[in-house]
Amino acid sequence: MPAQVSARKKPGDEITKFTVVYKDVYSWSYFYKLMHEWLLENGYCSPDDQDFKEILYEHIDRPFGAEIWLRWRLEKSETGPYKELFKYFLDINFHILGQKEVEVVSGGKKYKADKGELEVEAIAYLAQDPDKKVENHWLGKHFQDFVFKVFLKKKVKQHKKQLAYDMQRLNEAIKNYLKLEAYLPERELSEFYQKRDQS
Amino acid sequence: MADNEIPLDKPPVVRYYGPFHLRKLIDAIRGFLLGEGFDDIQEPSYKHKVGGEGTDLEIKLKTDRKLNAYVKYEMEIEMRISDMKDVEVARDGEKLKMQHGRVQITVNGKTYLDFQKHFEGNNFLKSLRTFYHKMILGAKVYEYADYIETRAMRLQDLIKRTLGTETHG
Repeated sequence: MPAQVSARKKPGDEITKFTVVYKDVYSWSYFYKLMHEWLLENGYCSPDDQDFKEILYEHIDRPFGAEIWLRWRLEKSETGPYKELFKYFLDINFHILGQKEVEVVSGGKKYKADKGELEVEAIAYLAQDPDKKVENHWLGKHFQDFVFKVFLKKKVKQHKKQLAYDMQRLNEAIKNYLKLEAYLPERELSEFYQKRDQS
Repeated sequence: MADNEIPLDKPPVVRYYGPFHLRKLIDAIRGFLLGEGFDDIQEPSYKHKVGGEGTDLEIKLKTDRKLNAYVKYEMEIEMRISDMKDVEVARDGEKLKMQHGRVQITVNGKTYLDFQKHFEGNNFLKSLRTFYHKMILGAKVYEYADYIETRAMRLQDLIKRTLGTETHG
């Protein structure tokens, strides 16, 4: 594992994390695009590719298939009141083992696809006072605990819930593409994006 | 283990081999947890691997419920399904699409006292907490722990009923 890249200081409080492991046939390029589009739609990255924080893409060809490591480090600034005091951070790590190109037949047509073991890990953090505005304020620094634990208690709770919900939807979007049994009653991206056997 | 955590003595386990309905099983577990007030259900891990004998599935669910400002319950459900295949089963003259495989579900639970860690600051506060648990709360601690144990047993029973095993109740 490329440790020098994965190890970094936590940008805030860890709110939730999940891992999805899938071993079968999928389209890596379509899945990559789907993830990117979801993050763009939900404000975790900008449409400008140069700003997209893909800090690692490592592809190693091995005898049993390609091994791929990817690290995305994303962030989202909140809108609304006290927006400078909260920021969402999202770390997404991909690890693919033994990926090989295969041909699959679907609906009487031949398609090129990939086969391997795909692991997606996502960790969400909520940073309070990311720019240290309260910490550096002459009066605010004495009341930092009071500000976040009493005055903005409801706001903190609301942001935690929002971030957890975003993560659940991302989880659903991944599972929906991979055609896995999902958990939320309503499906994320169910109509717009294709499933693995359609892409 | 910290003195403010009470795990289940024996986490209930269900093992089953035969046909089952995966969607119904997940919905039943979800419905039970929501009905018991565990509203923030997380799924920290989902593994789906297709092999020669069928699909291996491993799902972990985690949820908690705050009883009051001092007591919190946590539940963890681990589902392991191996050699899973889609099958068609005829029941009551109807053909149903179901799954067939080996299912193992473990229901684990934990009671957390002082979950906000108000008594974690130093050793004096920790001793105060131990005193509070032993002398003031007393048997109430076991009542708190009993709650999660009962819920785990009920969930086990529900899983057995959903899977259609012969012993439940």
